[in-house]
Amino acid sequence: MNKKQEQERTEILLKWALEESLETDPDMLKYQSGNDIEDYYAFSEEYERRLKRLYKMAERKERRPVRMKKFRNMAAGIVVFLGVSMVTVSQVEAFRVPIVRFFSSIQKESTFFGARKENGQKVTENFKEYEPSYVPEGYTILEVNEKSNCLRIKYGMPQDSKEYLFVFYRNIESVSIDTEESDYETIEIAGKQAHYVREGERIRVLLDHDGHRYYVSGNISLEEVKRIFESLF
Amino acid sequence: MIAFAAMIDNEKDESKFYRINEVYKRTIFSVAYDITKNYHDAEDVMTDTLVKIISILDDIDEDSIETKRCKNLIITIAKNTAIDLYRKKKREMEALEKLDTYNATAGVEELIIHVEQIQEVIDAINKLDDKYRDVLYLRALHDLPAKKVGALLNISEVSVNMRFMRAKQMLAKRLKEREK
Repeated sequence: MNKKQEQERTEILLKWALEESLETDPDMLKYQSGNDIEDYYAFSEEYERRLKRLYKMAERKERRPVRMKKFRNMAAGIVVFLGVSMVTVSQVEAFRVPIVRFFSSIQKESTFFGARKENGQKVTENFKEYEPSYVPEGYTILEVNEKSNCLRIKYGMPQDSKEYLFVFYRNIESVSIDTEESDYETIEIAGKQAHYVREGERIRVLLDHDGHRYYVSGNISLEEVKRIFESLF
Repeated sequence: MIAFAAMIDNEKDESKFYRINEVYKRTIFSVAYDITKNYHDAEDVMTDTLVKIISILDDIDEDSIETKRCKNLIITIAKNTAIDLYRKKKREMEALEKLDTYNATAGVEELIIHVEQIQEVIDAINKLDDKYRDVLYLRALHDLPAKKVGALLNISEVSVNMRFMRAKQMLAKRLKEREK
């Protein structure tokens, strides 16, 4: 038998010996029946009051594991329920797609409005109706400039150093487009004729509608420009 | 939903502490009065003893309340609580730490018990001083940690460990003497 086994055996035998020794323990024999006190002794009121407090203390201690177990069970139940719900929702496309879209739109809106709020740039009521409702992803308003007959909004994507400019003119005669040393063509956007000029990566698009002139120029794709204009009409 | 429904409170009519008090209040009072010789002090001892019992309520098995083992535990706690109060009242200064020190350079007897030595061990246990026997019961029989034993006996954890070690050494020494 090795040392560890010997120690374990000793512990078990010691416990057994201690249990057996209770039969002849002096204190156990002395206070065997508890009949040493007079039968007529009545505990004081002060003692009874203290005893009531002790009962409450003991009750709190005894109930604590039960309460903790209850809370743990409830928490576990909620976690399981949420977990199962999440798994179910994510597996079923009919649920997943609308939920993902919903949260994506919230994220876009909040990012957009958050960026607007951060920049402190806002189009006033004078030109509100002429502001494009579509802003390409990643772009935020950098600057707003209003004059009596003109609105200029500068959009930027800071992380990529891309920018584009949107301009609204109340009068068509106010502006013209320079097509020299660049690719020029007329295209159709939202059923209207537009002038499209490309200079390397920069494009310029000019469109007339309802007696007003709309202009977009910058590092932006034609597809995005089309969407910007489409959001105006 | 089943998880929620399963959490129904299972109230017992009598709490564990209530049962312990009902079974042992006369015993606790006997021990307390025997040492303090005063009814008022005996009630104080009873209150302190019950507070200590509440502190180790989790360590007391509900099914073992009316066993000798539990009675021994209650008596040990009550006795030591009464002695503490008695000493405070009499203003006796006992250098507990001094009494607990032992000669560390002396040979250390390791306790090894064989089955055939059980009766000798029992006799040796009954011959131990109260303070060593109490610690031996609380640590080895009731499996209470040193910190809790210290709180029950109103001594430091270090003293508990030293008394426990000393108790086992004394047992080992007595067993060896018997062998000779």
